[in-house]
Order: sequence, then C-alpha cells, then structure tokens
Amino acid sequence: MAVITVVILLIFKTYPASAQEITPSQSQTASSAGQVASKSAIPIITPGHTPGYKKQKEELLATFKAQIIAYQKAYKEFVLAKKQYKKLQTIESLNDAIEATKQAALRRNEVIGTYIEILHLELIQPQASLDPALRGQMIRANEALLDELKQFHQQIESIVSRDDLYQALFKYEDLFRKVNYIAYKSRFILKVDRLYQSTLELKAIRKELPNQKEAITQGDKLSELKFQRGLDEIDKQISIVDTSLKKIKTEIFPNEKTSADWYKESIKELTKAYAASLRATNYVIELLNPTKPTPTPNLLQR
Amino acid sequence: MFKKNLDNQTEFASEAPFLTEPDLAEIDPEIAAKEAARKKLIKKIVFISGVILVLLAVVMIVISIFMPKHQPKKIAPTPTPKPTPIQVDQSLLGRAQALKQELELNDPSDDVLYFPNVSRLIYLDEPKRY
Repeated sequence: MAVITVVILLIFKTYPASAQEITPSQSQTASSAGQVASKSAIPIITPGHTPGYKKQKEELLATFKAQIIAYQKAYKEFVLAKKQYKKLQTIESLNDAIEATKQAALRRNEVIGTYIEILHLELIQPQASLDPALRGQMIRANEALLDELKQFHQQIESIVSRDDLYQALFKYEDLFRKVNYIAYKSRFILKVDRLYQSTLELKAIRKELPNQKEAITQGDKLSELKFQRGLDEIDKQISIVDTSLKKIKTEIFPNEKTSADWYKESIKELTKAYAASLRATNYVIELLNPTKPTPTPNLLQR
Repeated sequence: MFKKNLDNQTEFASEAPFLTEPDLAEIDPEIAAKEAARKKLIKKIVFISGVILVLLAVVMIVISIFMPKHQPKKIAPTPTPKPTPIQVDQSLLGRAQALKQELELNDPSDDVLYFPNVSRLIYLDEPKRY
C-alpha cells in the first residue's frame, strides 16, 4: 500500500504541469475576473496630520472649554466688583474692582489665546491649499498674534495702578480687532482649503469615470447616453465649484475687511461651491452604483 | 394354418427389413394403418415446426426493421461559459462615498470653531471715546 502511494506521489511530482493544467473554462473565468476595470492610478487624497495632532487638539479643546467657564465666572465677579465700587467708593472696593478687572481681562486673554492656538494647529496641518501663500501668511500672523497676547498677559499681570490698567485695556481694543481679523480669516481659509481638497479628490474620481463606462453601461446604447448625461452634469457642477473657488481666491481673500459680516457673506459663496461639490459627488455615486428600479407587479398576469 | 403362416411371415419380416407398406398391409392392415397415421403425425409436426420457424423469422425481420437503430451516444458539447460582465471598480465607488461623508462632515454652514463670545468690554472706567 505504501509502495503504491509512493509511486502515485512520484508520478504527480514528475508531471506537475499536468496536475496544475488550467482547463479552458478555468482560464476563461480567470480572464473574466481580470476584466475588472482598471484600478485607479491616482492616489487617494487624504489630508495628513502632524504627529500628535489628535492629542494636541483634544487637550486644547478641553483647555478652551475650561477657560470659557473661568472667563464667564471672572466676568461676573468683575461686574459685581465694579458695582460694589461704584456703590461704596472705598479703597478696598477699588482694589477689589481693579483685581476683578485684571482677572476678567486675563481670563479673556487666555480664551482668545487658546482659540488662536487651535486655529494655528489646524492651519499647520499638511493639506492642499487654494492659496498656499495666504495660508502660510496666516500661520505667521497667528504666531505673531500669540506672542502679542502673551505680552498683553504679562503686562496686565504686572499692572498695579488704575490708570495703567485703563491704558492697557484701551490698547487691547486694537489687539482685539486684530484677533477678529486673523480668527475669521483663518477659519475661512480652513473651510475653503477643506473644500478645495475635496474638489481635488472629486476631480481625480471624475478623471477615472470614463474607464468605468463599459462596466456601467454593459454596451447598452441607452445606458451609454445616460452615462454621458451623468458625466456632463458632474462637469457642470465641478465648473460651478471652480468658479466659486476662483471668486474666493481673487475677490474674497484679498478683502481686508474681515469681520463677522464679511465672514457670513464669504460663507455664502463657499456654501454655493460646497453644494455643487456635494451634488457632483452624489452624481458620481449614482453613476457608479445605479439603484435598480424595483419592478412593478404586473396585475394583468394574475 | 393362417396363424402358423403369420408367425412364419412375422419371423420372415423381422429377418427381412425391406418389407414395404403394401407388403405390411398385405400382412396386417391394422399395422399398416398405424404406420400411416404415424407418418401423418410426423408430417404434421414437421409442417407445424416449419410454420413456427417461418413465423419466428418473419417476427425477427419485422422487429429488426422497426426497432430503432442503435446510435452512438452523442457527447453534449460543454456550454462555453459566458464572460462575466465587467465589474465597476469598487474602490472608486468607495472613494466617492468617503468623499461624500467628508463633505457632509465639513458643511461650511456648520461651524465647530465658533469665535468665543468675549467681545463684552472689560473696563473699570468707561473709555472716553470723544
């Protein structure tokens, strides 16, 4: 028995090709499996992150929340102390009011500082940008602002006299305007770049759609027409996105009047591009994954 | 006398096998009749068996004519497998779906990073603007 097994094994070893021979049907299956449309050559664009980004952001957000609570408490105490001083007009109440004002100003400064840090962290993330020069400029503006906020903090902490505090707080209004400008512009750049990145991915996917034509239409003439119509619609939406992004780059970005109103108006333009981008993406999904209509029951056949 | 003669004749007959029927009939008509009946029976048997053989032959011929001829089994040709339709690139679809998700998460009208509400003035002494 063992001898027979050895002989059979030897035969299989001697003629491995015959054992592994691919039958025509097998080869056909293999070729059909290989008929899957060409895979994408363009790599998937995903925004990258600097090391420790997630942890840093979590920590900053937690600090930010705690600082807002501390600021609200300090502000209430400031309002109370001011009222007390106005009412009592004593040195003690004045000292308390000065200290409460200082504390409120410091807590506010901390909130703004952390907020700018969060924006800075987002801005430094490697990502495709509609205007890389502006993004770089904004990163530097954020860093300079953080330095100014630190200086202001030190200045407030060291103030003793009522007049010095008044002068410092009055100057702070200029700093706050700068904070407003940088914060709104940074937020807008972040939003624009995120959409820009998505648009790049959308365009990359669109570029590959013609390779899928055969798989989608299966040679059916009507399906081919529908496919072409789908491509035209996607192109139309991409063109809307491009027009809006161009307007943002040439008209909205250079606008120096960065305020809450400016931000609202700019967001309107960005929303237009966003809506077109989402529509185009939905069309792409629809083209690649057409939902088969459910057949209507034929009542006459019953 | 006759019996004696018959015995002699029988004896003679057994000794002489070339006695013909008329001879026997002459000797004993009863034996002759029996012999004739036997011959008739043999003839009948031969005739019937002949008829049966002929009938069998006819039946065999008829069967051979009407019986379906044996045909070698045809080997059904193996159906050639239809080429499977080309599949849509699922990775591309996945990318499109991921993009949609990304877009939905980053709706510009939904702002996560709200500017903090810190615009209230903090002054112990109200600033003299003019």
